[in-house]
Amino acid sequence: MERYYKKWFYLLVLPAVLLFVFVIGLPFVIGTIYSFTSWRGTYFAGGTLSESFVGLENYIQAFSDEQFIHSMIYTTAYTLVAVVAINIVALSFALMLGRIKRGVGLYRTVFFLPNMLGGLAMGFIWQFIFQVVYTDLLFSPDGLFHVEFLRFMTQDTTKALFALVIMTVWQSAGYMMLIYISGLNSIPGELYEAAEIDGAGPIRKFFTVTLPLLMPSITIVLFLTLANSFKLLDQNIALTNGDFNTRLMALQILRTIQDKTPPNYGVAQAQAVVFFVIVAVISLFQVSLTRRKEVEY
Amino acid sequence: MNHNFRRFAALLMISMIAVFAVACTAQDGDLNNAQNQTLYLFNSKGENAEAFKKMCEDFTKETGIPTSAFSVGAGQDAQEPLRTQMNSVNPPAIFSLQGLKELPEWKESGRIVDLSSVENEEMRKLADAIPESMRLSDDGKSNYGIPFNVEGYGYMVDQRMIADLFSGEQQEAVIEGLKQASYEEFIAFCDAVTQYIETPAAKTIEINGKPYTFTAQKTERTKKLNGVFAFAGSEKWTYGDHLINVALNTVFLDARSAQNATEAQLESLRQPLVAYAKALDYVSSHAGGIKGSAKRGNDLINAANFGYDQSVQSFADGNALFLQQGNWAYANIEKVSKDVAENAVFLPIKLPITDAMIKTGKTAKEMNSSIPVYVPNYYVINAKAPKEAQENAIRFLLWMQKPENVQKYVIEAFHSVPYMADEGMKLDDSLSVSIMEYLEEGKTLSAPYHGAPNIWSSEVVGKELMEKYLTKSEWTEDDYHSIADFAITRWKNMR
Repeated sequence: MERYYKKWFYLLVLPAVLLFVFVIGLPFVIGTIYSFTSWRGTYFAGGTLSESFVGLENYIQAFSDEQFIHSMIYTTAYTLVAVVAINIVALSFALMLGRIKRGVGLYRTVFFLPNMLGGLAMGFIWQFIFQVVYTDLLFSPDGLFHVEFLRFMTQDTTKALFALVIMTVWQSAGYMMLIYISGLNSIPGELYEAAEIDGAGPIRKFFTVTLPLLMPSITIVLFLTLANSFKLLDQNIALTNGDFNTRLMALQILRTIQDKTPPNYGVAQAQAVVFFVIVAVISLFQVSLTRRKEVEY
Repeated sequence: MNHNFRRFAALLMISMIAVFAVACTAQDGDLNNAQNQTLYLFNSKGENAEAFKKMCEDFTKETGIPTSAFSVGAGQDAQEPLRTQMNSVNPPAIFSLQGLKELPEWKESGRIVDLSSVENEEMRKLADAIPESMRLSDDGKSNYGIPFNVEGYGYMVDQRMIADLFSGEQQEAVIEGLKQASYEEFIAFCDAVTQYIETPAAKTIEINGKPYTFTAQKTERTKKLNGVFAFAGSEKWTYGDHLINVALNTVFLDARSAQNATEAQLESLRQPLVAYAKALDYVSSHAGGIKGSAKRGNDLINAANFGYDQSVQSFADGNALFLQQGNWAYANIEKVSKDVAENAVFLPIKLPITDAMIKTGKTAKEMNSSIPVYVPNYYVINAKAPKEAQENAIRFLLWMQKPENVQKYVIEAFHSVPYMADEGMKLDDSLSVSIMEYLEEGKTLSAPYHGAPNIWSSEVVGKELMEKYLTKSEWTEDDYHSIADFAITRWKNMR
C-alpha cells in the first residue's frame, strides 16, 4: 500500500493542488496585484491593467482612513476578549464533561448544536435576544435583575463588543470543547495517579499535568479561534451592521466598496491584503509559540 | 483487493480530471454557440423574479429570440451580482440600474448605450418620449435608460380610520383637506389626534380652513390607535433617504442638479434641513407601536421593536394613523391586512418650510401638497454586448413598452405604476391609484437624494440621527442646527 501511495503520489494530490491553486492561490495572487491598481470591480479606471497601476496609493488611502484604523483596533480588541472567553468556556465544558458519568453524549450534542447555525441566522437570533430578552425581559427595571449594562447591548461600541463575544462564545465553545475533550482523553491516567501519590491537589494537577499535555489541543483551538475572530463577518452584519462604530475588519472591507461610486475595489483589496498579513503573522506567531510549549512524554 | 483498489483509485483520478477539464471547456463552447443567439438579461428586482422570467419567455415565444434572465434574490443588493454577471462569460445585454447613483460606474466602464444616439429610429423615439424629469442623464442631453416604473411615497393613511375619527361622510373632505393643509395645520391635526387617543371628545379642528368635528366615542377601529405615526427608528433609510429627500426638493429640482450642487446651493439647504429636523423631531416623538405608544429613546431604534416589518404591522393593525412608506410596501401591508391595504392612500409629507427657503420656483403650499414620485430603476443596454445582442435588446425593450405589454407585465404582473400610463391602463392597487392622482394633478416632487454623494443620506446623515438623536428624549433648537450643519458639512466633504 505504501509503495502504491509513493508511486501515485503526484497524481493523487493533483486534484487537491488544482483546487487550491484555482480557488485560493490564483484569486489571492490576482487580488494582491489588483491592490496596486485602480480596479473598479469590472474594469480598470484609466485603461488596462498595466495602465492602471497606482503604486502604494491604495495602501496609503487605506491607512489614512479613520474607519479602517478603528476597525483594526476594534477587531483586535474583540479577538483578544473572544479568544480568551471561548478557550476558558470550552476548556471548562470539557473538564466538566470529563467528571460526569451520565448524559455525556447529550451534553456534548447540546453544547455543539449552536455551531450548526449559520452566522447570519445566529446574528438575527441574538439581535432578538439582546433587544428583547435582555433589554425588556431579563435586565430591565421591571425584569428579573436590573442590569443597565446588559440592556441595549447593540447600541454602544463597547457593549456591542461584549455582545459579539457572548454570541460567538455560544457558537464556538461547543466545537472547541470537542477538541479539548479528545486532548484530555489522550492524557494517560497514570500521570494523574503519579501526581496524586506525590501529593498534588486538583489545581496543581491541572497546571503541571493537564495544561502541559494539552498544549497540542490548545495550539489548534487558539489557531482556530484567532483566525475565526479576525474573520468574523456574518454575525457582525446581522447583529449590529457596523452601527455605533462596530465594524470589524471584514465588514469594513465590504463597506469600502459601497462607500464610493464608482466602487473603489483597489482600496478594498489593499485593506484585504493588510488584513491577510495581520491574520497570517499573528496566527503563525501563535502556532510557533504554543508549539514550543508542547511537551513529549 | 489491492489491485482492485488501485484500479478504482486510478479511474477516480482520471474521471475527476476529465470532469474538471470538461467543465472548463464546456463553458467556452456554450459561449461560442450562444453568444449570438441568446439575449441575457439582468433583473435587479428579485421580488418579481418569476413574473420577469415569464415575460422573457413570452417574448421568446413571440419573437423566436431566446432569452436567459437572471434575477437577484428578493431584497438582495443588486450591485455585487451585477458586477459578477458582467465579469462572466455571458454578460447581460440588458441590465437594470438604480438611477443616477449607479450611472458613473457603468458609464466609466463603457458599458452603457446612449439611447438618444442609437440607429434604431423607433428606439430613439421611445427614448425621446420619456419625460425629461424621468430621464437617466447626467448632462441633460444623454438618455441612458428606459424607466422600469415609477414609485412614490408619503404618509399612508387608512381612509376608514379617518371616517371613524370623524363622521363617515366627512372622510373624503378631511383627506382632501389634509392633502392641502399647511405644516402647522397638519401638526395641529396630529396634536388633536394624540389628544383624542388619550381622551376622546367631539372637538372641532380646522383643516385647510374648514372645521371638522371628531366623533365623541371611539369605534372598534379607533380604539386600537396608540400613536399618530408608525415609525421605523432602526431603518435609517426611512428618515435618511426619504424624509430628507423632501427637504432637498426645496433647492434641487432633480437628482442631476443635486449631483452638480454648488457651494451656494448647499448653503441654502441649511434652513430646509432645520425644518426637516423639526419635522423628524415631531414624528419621532408621536410614534405608535405594536406594544403601545412609543417614546423616543434607545428602544425606538431597536430593530426588534421598531424595524420596517414592525412599522408596517403597526400601521396595518391600526395602532398608528400614518406610515411614511412607498407603494412598494403594498404587498407587505396586504399580508397583514388586505382591507387596510385596499383603503390606503397617500398624504404628502409636510415640512415647516417657507417660500423664501425654496429655490426651485415652487411655493411652500405646493411642496406640502405634493408627494415624491420618481423612477427607481432603469433598463439599460450593455454597450460591450455583441452587436446582435444589442439589437435584440432594443427589440426586447420596444416590445416591453407596447401598451398591452405594459398593462400585462408592468401593472398586472409586477404590480407597478408605469412611467407613462395612458387612460386605457388600469392600475390594480389603491396606492398606485393614489400616485396616479398626484401625477395627473402635477403635484409631485422628485428624488434629488439620488444625486447626493453615495451613502450620504442614509449611512451618514441617517446614521448620525439614529445614533445620536433618536436615542435622546428632547431635541433643542441647537440640535436642529447641528443636524443641518452636519448634513451640509458631510456633503461638502464627500463630493
